[in-house]
Amino acid sequence: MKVIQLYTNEKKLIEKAAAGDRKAQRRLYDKHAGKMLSVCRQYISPIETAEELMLNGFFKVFTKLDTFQHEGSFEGWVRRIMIRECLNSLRKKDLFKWSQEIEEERLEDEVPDESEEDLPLHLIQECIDRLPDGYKSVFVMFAIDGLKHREIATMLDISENTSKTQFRKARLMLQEQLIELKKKRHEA
Amino acid sequence: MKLNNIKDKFNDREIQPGADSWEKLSQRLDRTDAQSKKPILLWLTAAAAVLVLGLTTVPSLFSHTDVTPLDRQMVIETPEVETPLRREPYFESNSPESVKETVPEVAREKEAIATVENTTKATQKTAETKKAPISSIQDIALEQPEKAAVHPTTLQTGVAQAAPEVLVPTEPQTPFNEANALLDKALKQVQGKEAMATTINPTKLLRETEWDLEAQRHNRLENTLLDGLGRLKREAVALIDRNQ
Repeated sequence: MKVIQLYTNEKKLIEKAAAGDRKAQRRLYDKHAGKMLSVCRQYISPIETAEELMLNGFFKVFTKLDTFQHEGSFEGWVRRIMIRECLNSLRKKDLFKWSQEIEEERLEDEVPDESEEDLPLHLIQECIDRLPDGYKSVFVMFAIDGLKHREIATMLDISENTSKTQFRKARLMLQEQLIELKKKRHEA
Repeated sequence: MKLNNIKDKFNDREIQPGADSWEKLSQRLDRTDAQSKKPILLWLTAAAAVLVLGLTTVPSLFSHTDVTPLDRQMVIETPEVETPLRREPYFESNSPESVKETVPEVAREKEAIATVENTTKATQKTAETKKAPISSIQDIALEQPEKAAVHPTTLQTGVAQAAPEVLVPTEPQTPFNEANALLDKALKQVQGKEAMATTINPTKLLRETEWDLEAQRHNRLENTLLDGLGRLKREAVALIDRNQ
């Protein structure tokens, strides 16, 4: 019952915001800005640039809010807009360098799991930031934002196999970094 | 590496933006709103200009009423001031000397017989006219007191204007007696009308009716234009909403 009420409230809020009601827009912004800045930060560093892109994303959200059909979640719709904004920014700077594709059979090889549960989030973020932009984008899109390789391929205008290759390489690189970080922490 | 753990950790994370971030976004949205409203405002201004032009020019295009100086003069209700009635010029023009001046020498002999006959008839009619109450004639003259004061032949003018259907041609070739007869006839008609409706001024009534008709036409036109403007406004508002 409570969930339905919340949904109705957000729907009304969205409708008001779509009609140009600045207060409704402010409430939607306050509700989602924190999470969306986190999304942008996954792709972009430093935080100032990420915030700038988040504002661009919200500007698009509010100017195109009438196209939102209420079919999926509003947060998911906004999240995709933010991801596109970040990817466009990286594409403009020509930061995507795609590595050579790995053969299909080798893609199936499992990378041994190494627990990183004890590592704080900001350290993991630092490790992700150190990845090349191509790897980083595919890794974040697949591992954190939950997109499928097909969707990633479409969004980045690459083949599905390239997306899988980038993810695999990013994962290996990240794992190496995390192991190294752990060692340093143990030594300290 | 356990991806699900990373995913959960990142999905729960929130980074609060700077304090002025909303202000920046709000200003940007305001600028866009103003820009999107500009063309609509331009359209509204143009529509208003067209409306004003329409209201001023269209009625004059459809209106075919000729506004004569007499009409303009009659609009202003002047206080009734009695002016002395001057009939002398009218009777002076009846004198044989003036007949001599106006009738050409050659045609005089031919018209002599007819003139004698007409003169007798006209004299009879004039005598009848003289018997008519002076007050009724004064009323006609009072219609235009200013004019009466300036021109000595105001009575003639007043009669001609009050009954335009009996306008008398004043060319010198016209036989004078005939002119007199026509004038008398017109005078009688006017007197008859005055006697029938002393309180109603037919010219004024006609003019008022014309004004009423014109006002109705103006109102109808204005209503149509206002409806159009209203519709335009509604469409503009809808367009603004759509743009937003």
